[in-house]
Amino acid sequence: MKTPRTANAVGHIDDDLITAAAECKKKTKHNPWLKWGSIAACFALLVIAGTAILPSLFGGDGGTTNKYKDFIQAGESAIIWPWEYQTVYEKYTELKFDGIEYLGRGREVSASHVGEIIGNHTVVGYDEINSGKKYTKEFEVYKLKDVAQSQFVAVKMEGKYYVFKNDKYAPPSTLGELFNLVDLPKVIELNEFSENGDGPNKNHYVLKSDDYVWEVLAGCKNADFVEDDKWTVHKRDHLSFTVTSETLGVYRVAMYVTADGYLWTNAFSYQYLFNIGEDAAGKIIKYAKENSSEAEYKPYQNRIVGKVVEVTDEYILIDDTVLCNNPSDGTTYKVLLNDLRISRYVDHEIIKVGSTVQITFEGEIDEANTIDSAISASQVKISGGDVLIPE
Amino acid sequence: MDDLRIIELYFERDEQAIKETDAKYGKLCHSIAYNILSNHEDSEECVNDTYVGVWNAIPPTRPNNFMSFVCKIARNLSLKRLEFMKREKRSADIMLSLDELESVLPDDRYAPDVSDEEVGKLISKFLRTQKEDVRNVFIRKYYFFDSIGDIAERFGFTESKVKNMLFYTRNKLRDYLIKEGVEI
Repeated sequence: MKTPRTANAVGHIDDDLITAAAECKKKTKHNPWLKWGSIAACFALLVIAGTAILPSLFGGDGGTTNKYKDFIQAGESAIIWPWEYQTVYEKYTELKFDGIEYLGRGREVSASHVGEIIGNHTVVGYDEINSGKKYTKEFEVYKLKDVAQSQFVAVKMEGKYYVFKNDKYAPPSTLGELFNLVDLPKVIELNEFSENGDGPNKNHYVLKSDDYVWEVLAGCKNADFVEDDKWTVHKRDHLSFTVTSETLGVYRVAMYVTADGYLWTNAFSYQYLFNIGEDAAGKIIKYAKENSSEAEYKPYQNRIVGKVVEVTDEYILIDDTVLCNNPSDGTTYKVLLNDLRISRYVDHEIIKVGSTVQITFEGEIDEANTIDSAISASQVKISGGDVLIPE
Repeated sequence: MDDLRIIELYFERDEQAIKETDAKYGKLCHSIAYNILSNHEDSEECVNDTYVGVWNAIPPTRPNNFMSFVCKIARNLSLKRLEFMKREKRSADIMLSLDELESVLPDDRYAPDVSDEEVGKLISKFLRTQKEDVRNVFIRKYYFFDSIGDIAERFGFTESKVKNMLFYTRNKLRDYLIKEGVEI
């Protein structure tokens, strides 16, 4: 076998490009449904390790406990949509001004968190299906309250504000430096946590107040940032706090406090790890355990799975009988197509009559079994008692 | 230790230079070799050969970018060793990567009057016109030969997204090389 010429030529790429690629840091995923893959690469079945019993995915409604069979639930759907089928915040993602490159986080922030206007700036988007064709558009850019402009800004697109974050890997050298850039107690509320993992089979709690946790962390301002790509929380005793923050543009990401003295979070795109010491970590863990009450497991997103029985311009009907132990327990859900994020699945025939699909949604199911907050869909296969989602 | 100091040690013919190189870049070299050879023993030998190569090259060479200099030697030696490995010992991953690269510019029969180094310069020029993520994903895949899974994890993308990016970048690179007069 001879090495292809391109492989040899790639060996002569400029040094600075090699160094940049060698040193580019690990990013942490925080928002799976926003990560795009290829529609062309769909339909290789994926079996994801680990089990989750469907009723728990419904938010633990006690009334449904015995309704469903046990299923293995599989992963993430990933599609690149044609440009005209993307929402404005999916289209326009790159903002550069004052020498800083910000990337859209794909999350809306309420006007109450938005500060004064900075000015009009160009935001760039790329149509990946069309060979990366570049689009530009000018939008109003605003400061966000309680965070440094150098780290986060808000961009007003189609009347709503969206969070953009400085994408450069430049971690603070201490926890104190992070506190200076982001008023953490104001932008993050730590009210849910679990012990030694955050899956459905772990113990979950609601914290009465997070004031003391922030007080302890504020006392660790000299805690050093730890640069260690291989650090992992497994095998360490820890509490896993759920972090949702409109200002930071994150939804149900994690913050770990480990008994051996580390604070870890993925709320800032990259791994942020600080050595706060066993004493501070111990205080937080003890306080949290003594000042919380047990709670139900909450899934990352709510889902339903079933067969599509009707598709109209306004809604789809999904019947989940296929999942039930007893067919008479089947429920028909009405999923409204009131948002481009869900209606595009119908336009592209990913949702069609007769197919079995999983729908994810953000809000609640009302008494009439209507879902008005669906955000994504995947075709699934039910095989040997497992729900399999094609990649 | 600072790269400049390590290079000085080579100039002083101090064998500590190799220990320092190993401490600083041993893991990186091993990962490149292992991505290509999929075998710890072969990779270890390649890394050791890399140190001999660096020892022989410095002096007289005084590399501007020591890390890239060491990586290049490790990569070249590993690719050479791969050429001599039996088919059944090669991993599907590296074979797929090489096939993908072959589709851009196959062999010496094409553009015989342009050297690999010149093509490398054109690839650099092309990559500089691409988005940073696209550029880094391409280099992680075809220079360091990282797996799609590792790249997806590093950049926080799905594997499909990585495959898709690489597909478009290869096609664009091929078009670019043709436009620049490399006959494919």
